[in-house]
Amino acid sequence: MAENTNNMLLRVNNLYKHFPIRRGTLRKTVGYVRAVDGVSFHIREKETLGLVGESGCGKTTTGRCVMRAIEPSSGEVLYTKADGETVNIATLEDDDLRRLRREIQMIFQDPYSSLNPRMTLLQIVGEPLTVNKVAHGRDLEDQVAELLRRVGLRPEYMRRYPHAFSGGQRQRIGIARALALNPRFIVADEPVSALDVSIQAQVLNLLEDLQQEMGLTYLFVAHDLSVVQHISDRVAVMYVGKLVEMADTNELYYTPLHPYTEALMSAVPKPDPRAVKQRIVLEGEVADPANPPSGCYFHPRCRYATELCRTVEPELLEVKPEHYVKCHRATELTLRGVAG
Amino acid sequence: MNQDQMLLEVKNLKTYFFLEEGTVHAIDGADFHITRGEALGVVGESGCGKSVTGQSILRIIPNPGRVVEGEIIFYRYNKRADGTEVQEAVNLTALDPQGDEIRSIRGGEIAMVFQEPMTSLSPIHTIGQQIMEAITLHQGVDKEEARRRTIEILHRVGMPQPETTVDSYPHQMSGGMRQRGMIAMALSCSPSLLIADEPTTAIDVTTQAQILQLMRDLQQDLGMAIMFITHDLGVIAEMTKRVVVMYMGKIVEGADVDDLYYDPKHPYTRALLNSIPRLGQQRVDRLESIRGMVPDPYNLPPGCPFHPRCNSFMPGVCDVSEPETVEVGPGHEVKCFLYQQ
Repeated sequence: MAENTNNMLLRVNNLYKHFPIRRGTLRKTVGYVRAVDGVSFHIREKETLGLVGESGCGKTTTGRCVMRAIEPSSGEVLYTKADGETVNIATLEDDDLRRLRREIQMIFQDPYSSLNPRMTLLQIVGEPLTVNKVAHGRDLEDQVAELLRRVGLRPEYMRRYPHAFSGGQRQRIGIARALALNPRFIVADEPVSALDVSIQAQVLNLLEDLQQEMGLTYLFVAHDLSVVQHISDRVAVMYVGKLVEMADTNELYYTPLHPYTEALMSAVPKPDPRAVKQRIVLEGEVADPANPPSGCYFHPRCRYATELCRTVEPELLEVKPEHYVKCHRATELTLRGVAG
Repeated sequence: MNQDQMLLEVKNLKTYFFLEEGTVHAIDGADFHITRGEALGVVGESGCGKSVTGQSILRIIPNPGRVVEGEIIFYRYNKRADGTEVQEAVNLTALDPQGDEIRSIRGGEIAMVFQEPMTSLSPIHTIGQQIMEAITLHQGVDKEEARRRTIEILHRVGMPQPETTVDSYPHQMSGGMRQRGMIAMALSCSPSLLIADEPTTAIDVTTQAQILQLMRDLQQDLGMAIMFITHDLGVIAEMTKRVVVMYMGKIVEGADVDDLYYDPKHPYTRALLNSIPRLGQQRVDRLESIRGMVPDPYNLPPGCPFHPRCNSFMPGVCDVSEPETVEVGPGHEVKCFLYQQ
């Protein structure tokens, strides 16, 4: 591949996660849900890769496999550590994995269920520090105070419980916890989708500020295309467990090469009453990942599909420098981006 | 405005929730109207009272909430034997919430589509049974006729294979199909007003496009009015002609959709429009966020409820008394001291 490998932080090769479907008293496996079905992508240091797609497309599962919150079925997750050594997270031993987790943290979607209601902020934000024996006592309190300040919360709040805080503040608490061990890489799974728009802007700004100050790398998993466009340097689009397109943000949004990306962009209602409505309304529904169609998974809904699309699955190819597409007709079609 | 075209008038509506911790003023003096066949958008953030507005109209406010003041006048149109229509005004707030009259209106003349189709449909009845119940209740037809009409309406909302889906349970359907089922149920009695409370929030964007298209077509074909309650400024821009913006139980601005998006007057509306990332806009470094957060509902700030977060805050004015609603242009009303003489 053409890209510069010097500052590569993460490279995912052929990642699979198949969940078995079990039936009957013997719990016999009768099939598999192909949640993640051969996904490959890379993230460079200090950049934000947005991972978008509709519900059930496997974007969350991909994020969790990357940090091995769930075991991938197969594939490689190559991560370059701060000391320069590259490890495969997918096969790492428990002890090494635990040490590595200091560098990789996660921010969750729901700020209500991801914080323990019986723990104070000091316990929640300080837990990663105590578990990893980084700090205790007075030192712990100082570090938690600094973390709270950093995410825009008052250090005096550290004896309070999560119920005393609003959704936006809770999301800040979750971010403070993720920052506690000074990570390099953060998987953010829909971090703003539960928040109101005025609060969403505050949290997005905070994530960008932190990235600047601490040199963080983000894998930003979300379904909101406007939010992803705002925060990402590059964007990858998933459909039924497969990555269908990946490119630089502006490239992907203005000159998409996959028909699904085009349809997805055109489906977003624009906050402008004068906008010209040229909507591509897709027929039918998202394919079932337990029983996907033949050939290209998108062909039953694609208005450009040919006989080839019905029978042969296309490869993810680098059609232009740094622009990867999984479509037989990528080079012959002229698709409409968000500006059109 | 032509009085004949008026469908619903809300005057100084106040709906309060009486809780142990205190009284929440969910709606605190709202005035607006909907004309026949019109699409009105109600926009605001969570807790602003937009859903309670819909619930107040249908008189289905959950306990311990109550309409404490104000009127909701619903204009019914009864066809006389000679084909002419007579207008009859009913004050919905004066009706017994369990009485016969509100029951004949609820689901019949005013219907509602809820946000979460999984929790608002009964899991132990087929979609057909649930729609047939509404039809037999309001239209007094027999079972066979009700089933025939149900299949027809399922066909109308684009349900795949309506003859077989009519016997499916909600769990056998996808989110988009369930929402189509909800819409079919709401439309089954040809309401004159449809209240759609976040109808596409729980749905994916490509399915949302299908549902919005469907609702637009149905509104045009059936000539019903829609009250579109949502937090999504994109959906509002696409679906409605007129918008009211709510903040802490009050309507802070109301205008034609074009005026509201291109010439917003209230500092809250302006901030809201500036805080959303826009698809296709060149990347901006920082989003304009609204500082602070929505105030504690038990403990509202004095004066204008937005003043602690407002960029145009005038000390000694905004924190002392509440502004009046003034008209700043044709049909454009704002509740802010900046525009007061």
